[in-house]
Amino acid sequence: MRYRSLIGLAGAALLVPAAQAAAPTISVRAEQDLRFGTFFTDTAGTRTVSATGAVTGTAIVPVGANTAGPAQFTITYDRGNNANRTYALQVQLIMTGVSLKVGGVTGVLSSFDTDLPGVGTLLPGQAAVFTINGCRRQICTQTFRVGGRLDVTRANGGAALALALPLTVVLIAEVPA
Amino acid sequence: MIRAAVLAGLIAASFVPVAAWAASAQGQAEATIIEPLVVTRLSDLDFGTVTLAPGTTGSVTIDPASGVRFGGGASAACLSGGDGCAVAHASRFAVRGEAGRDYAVSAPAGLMASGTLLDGSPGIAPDLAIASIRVRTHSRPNSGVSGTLDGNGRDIFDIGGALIVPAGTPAARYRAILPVIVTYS
Repeated sequence: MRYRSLIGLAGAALLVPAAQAAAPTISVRAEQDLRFGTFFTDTAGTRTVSATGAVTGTAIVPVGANTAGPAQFTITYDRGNNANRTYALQVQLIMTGVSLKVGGVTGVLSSFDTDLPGVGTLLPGQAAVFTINGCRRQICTQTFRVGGRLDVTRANGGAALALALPLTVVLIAEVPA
Repeated sequence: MIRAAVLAGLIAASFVPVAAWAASAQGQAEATIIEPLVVTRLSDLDFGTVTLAPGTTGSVTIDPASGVRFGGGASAACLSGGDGCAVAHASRFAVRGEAGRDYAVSAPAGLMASGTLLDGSPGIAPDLAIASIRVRTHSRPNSGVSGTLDGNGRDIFDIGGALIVPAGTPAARYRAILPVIVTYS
C-alpha cells in the first residue's frame, strides 16, 4: 500500500502541469512566393532557383530584370506554457509537387531545396526531418527559404503560371536541449 | 515499483513525443513564359545597280524612313528592276512574339562588302564600306532600334545604310552578310 501511494503521487505530480498548460500548437505561414521570373523557351526548358537565390537554367532565355527568388515560410511553435528552459523541436517537412497547364504551356515543379540545416534536395512528396534548435520561450519560430526546379514544355504561345506550392510540417517531438 | 515509476518519469521528461501535430501552408510558385521571338527576312538590303561617273566618288544612302538618295558621282542604273538591274531598297524583317512586348534590334554600325568582278577576270574587287546602318521599327519609328509587338504579337522593321563607292571602283557584284539580332527588352 505504501508503495502504491508513492506511485500515485508521482503520477499526479507529472500530470498536473500538463493539465494546467494549453496544448502546444504548430503553424506554418507562407511569406514569399517562389519566383522563377520571366523567360522563353522554344519547346522545353528548365529553370532552377535555389534556396539561396542562385538561378540556373537550361534551354531557356531569361527576359528583363532578374526577379527570380526563393519562397519563404515561417514555422511557429507555441508550446503552451512559459517554462523557461531551452528545447529543440524535431519537425518533418513535406513539399508537394504540382503541375499546371495553361494554354500550350505546361509547368511542373519537380524538386525542391531548402536552407534548413540537414535538408538536401526534396522530391515532391518526400519527407525530411530537421531540428529547430535554441528554442527557449513559449513561442519558437523558424524562417526558411525554399527553392525549386520548374520544368516547362511549350507547344505554343506563352503563359503566366501560378502553381500551388503546398507545404506540410509535422511536429515529431519537443526535445530538451 | 518505485524504480519503475521514476524511470518512466525520466523518459517522459527527456523526450516528449507529440502526436501528429501538423500544419500546412499553401505557397505559390510563379513564372511567366513568353513566346519566343521569330524573325523572318522579307527582303535584303539592296543598294541596287549603281553607275559611277568616271573619276568621282559616290554613295548610295538608304534611309529606312525617307528612302534612297544617291550622292557624288553615283546614280541608279535603272528606275525599275528587271533584266539584271536591281533597284535599291531597305531590308525588311517581320517579327513575331509575345503580344505587347518590347523588343530591340541589334545590327552593326558598319560592314565591308566583298566583290566579284563582273568581267570574269581573276582579279579581286576591292571591298566597299557600308556605313551608317540604321534600324527603324514600324511600331516605334522614332525610337531607334526599339519596337513593340502589336496585339497579335507582330511588327516589322527596316534596315538601311550607306554604301561608299570610291573613284575607280571596278564593275563588280558586292555582297555582305548583315547580322541582325532581335531580343526582348
